[in-house]
Amino acid sequence: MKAKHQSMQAQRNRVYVLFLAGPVVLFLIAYVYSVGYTVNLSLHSWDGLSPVSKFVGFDNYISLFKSARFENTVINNLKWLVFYLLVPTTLGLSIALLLDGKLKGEGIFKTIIFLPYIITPVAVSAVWRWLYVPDGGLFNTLITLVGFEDLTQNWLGDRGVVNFSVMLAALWCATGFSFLVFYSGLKSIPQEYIEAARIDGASPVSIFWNIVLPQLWPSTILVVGLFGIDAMRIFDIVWSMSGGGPARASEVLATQLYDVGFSTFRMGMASAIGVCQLIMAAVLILPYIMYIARRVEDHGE
Amino acid sequence: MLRRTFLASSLVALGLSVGALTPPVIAQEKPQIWSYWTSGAEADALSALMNTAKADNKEADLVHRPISGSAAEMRQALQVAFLGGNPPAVFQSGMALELKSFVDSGRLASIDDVWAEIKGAENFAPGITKTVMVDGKVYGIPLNVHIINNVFYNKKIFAKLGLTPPKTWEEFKAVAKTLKDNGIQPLANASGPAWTLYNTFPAILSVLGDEGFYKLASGDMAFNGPEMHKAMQLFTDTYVANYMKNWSGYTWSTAADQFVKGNVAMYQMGDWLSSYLKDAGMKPGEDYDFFPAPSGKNQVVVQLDVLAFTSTGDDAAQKAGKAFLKVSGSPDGQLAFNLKKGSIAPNKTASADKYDAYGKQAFENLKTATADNEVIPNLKKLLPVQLGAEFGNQIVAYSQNPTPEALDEMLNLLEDMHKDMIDQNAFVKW
Repeated sequence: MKAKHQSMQAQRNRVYVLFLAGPVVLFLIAYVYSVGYTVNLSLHSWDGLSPVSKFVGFDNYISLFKSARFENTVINNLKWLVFYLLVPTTLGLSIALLLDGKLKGEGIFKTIIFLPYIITPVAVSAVWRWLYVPDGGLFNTLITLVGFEDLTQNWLGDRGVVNFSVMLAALWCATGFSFLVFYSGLKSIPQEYIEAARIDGASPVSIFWNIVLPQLWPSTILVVGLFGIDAMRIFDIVWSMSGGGPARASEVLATQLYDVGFSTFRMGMASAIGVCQLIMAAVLILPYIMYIARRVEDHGE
Repeated sequence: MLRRTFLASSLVALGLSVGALTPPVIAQEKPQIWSYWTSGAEADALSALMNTAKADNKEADLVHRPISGSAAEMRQALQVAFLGGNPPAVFQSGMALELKSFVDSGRLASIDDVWAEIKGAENFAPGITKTVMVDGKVYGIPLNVHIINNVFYNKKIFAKLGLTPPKTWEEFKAVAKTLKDNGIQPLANASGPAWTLYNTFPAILSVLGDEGFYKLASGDMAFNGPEMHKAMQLFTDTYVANYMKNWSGYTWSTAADQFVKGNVAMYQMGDWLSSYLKDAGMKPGEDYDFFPAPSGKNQVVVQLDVLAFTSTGDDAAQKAGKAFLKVSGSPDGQLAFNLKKGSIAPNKTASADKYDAYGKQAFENLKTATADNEVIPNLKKLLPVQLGAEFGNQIVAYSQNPTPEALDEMLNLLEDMHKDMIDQNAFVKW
């Protein structure tokens, strides 16, 4: 009896192991190995072609930290982080609140607002580049038409403006996502809470702060978390819109990594940038993941 | 128990993953040529060349593997192939410095014998030979020339204002002034690390001369010396001072649209601009024409694609590759390719009869320049990649804010990098 129990146990263990092996192998190959390889490569000087690479210790990191280019890039990524956490989030929430149950044909508005989010960023960039052409582009033409010619901009050519121009295009896309999440969040708030508050004589503002917003907390966590990750890994919209220019003014870590690695063939340096990006993302996102994990545990109980 | 099995399975997995990363050596059936000429006129041009090669010599029968993307993707594909043991016999490469990194890592073999057979030294301009030569040896065939120092101008605007194409910088400035006085922006330009840099070449050639230009390219001249200061000042006074408004917000093609609209009268750009203007409905010779930027000696600044020869150790591939390159360097092969692609054959013995109007004129310019030894390769492709890229970015920033302080700052920064590059042995020697 005991022997049979043991053999069943062993068989079950084998099944566990079999099922576990798949993800473990994937994790090891796709994650542990590649990150380890990148870290190792970041300590070498390699052009991507030579059979040999030269060990240089922390030289790549030292020259990165000394370079004004890298500093500017890190600052740009932080700008993107602040932007993503604040602007599309608030805008999406505002639109969701405005639309919530107040209009006929909500479905159409919902679709229109969500639509930009599903367009691929490269296509978005192509369209927005046209809008941004200094002479003859839609933006400057409109601004001139309404009589503010002085306010026309060199949208993608001015080093002080280019980041905001790319962000505006990103805003157009990203808002659809936060809108949709907040909108569904609003739908799931039990109406009884709001009615009860109203009967008790609470003002709309107070209802918003004390009932709606706390009830939207899970939606907020979701939106903010995903946008935070987006901000750290942003590449496509910047690359296809400004190429990181003019004169590298709109470079972010991912575009710099690509440029250093694949345009100027410094694989070690590019790996060092990748490692820095990973660490920055980890530092910024880890607290979020820990928070989520704790929440899931709480709910589990 | 569970733990031990888990450990074992992880070890197995690790072994698997390491095993999977050691690529098997696969025997190649037919030698290959890799290129990113994958569509349209470019793809047609390559098949024309391949057909010519096959007809000329049965051995020169290569299979084309298209690489989607451009130079960066090509390099990635080659990287994998070199590490994995299945590289092509011949591949499309950029010129000059791009070859050097492959040579330095032992991935290319010299084709001095092919070069001698096609009389390369005689039939190609010395400036063009420099684009395929590293440390005195030839590693590829220059295939197609694009001229990048021609200034296109709007013929109707010039006629209306009674202007003639300028031959000196003083004349250029006078033309620009007349245009400005009549409310027309003189010179187009576009953002990106290439175009503004290409615009500096005429001024650099003008001040440094050909010899100085090559010295700069091979690392034998300081970037912050008096010559470069003077050259950049000339560039500033002639070009930067006359750039159209907000030029940095345009791509080369949206800037060309401004040229088509007649908002700007001149544009120094590679000769692909001619096809763009034609597509936009302008007639060459009637609506637009070009003059060489006034660099003093009618230099022709060129960039070109190279067919590079890999060192594979596979006899069949080496033989086929060399046979193919021989045809590629011959007048027949060069014409077959260039007539389809809309570029010019670098081999001066290729006949000019079949080019279109622009092609004929460009071919004549190239021929004269070849005879005068005034064919000059694109500086950006001669400099170490990192330095060329830095120069390209710095010059955009400077041209947006051309103060004397900004000039000093730029040239000093480039000089620091120049010294670093010397330490790294990154400059090409011929």
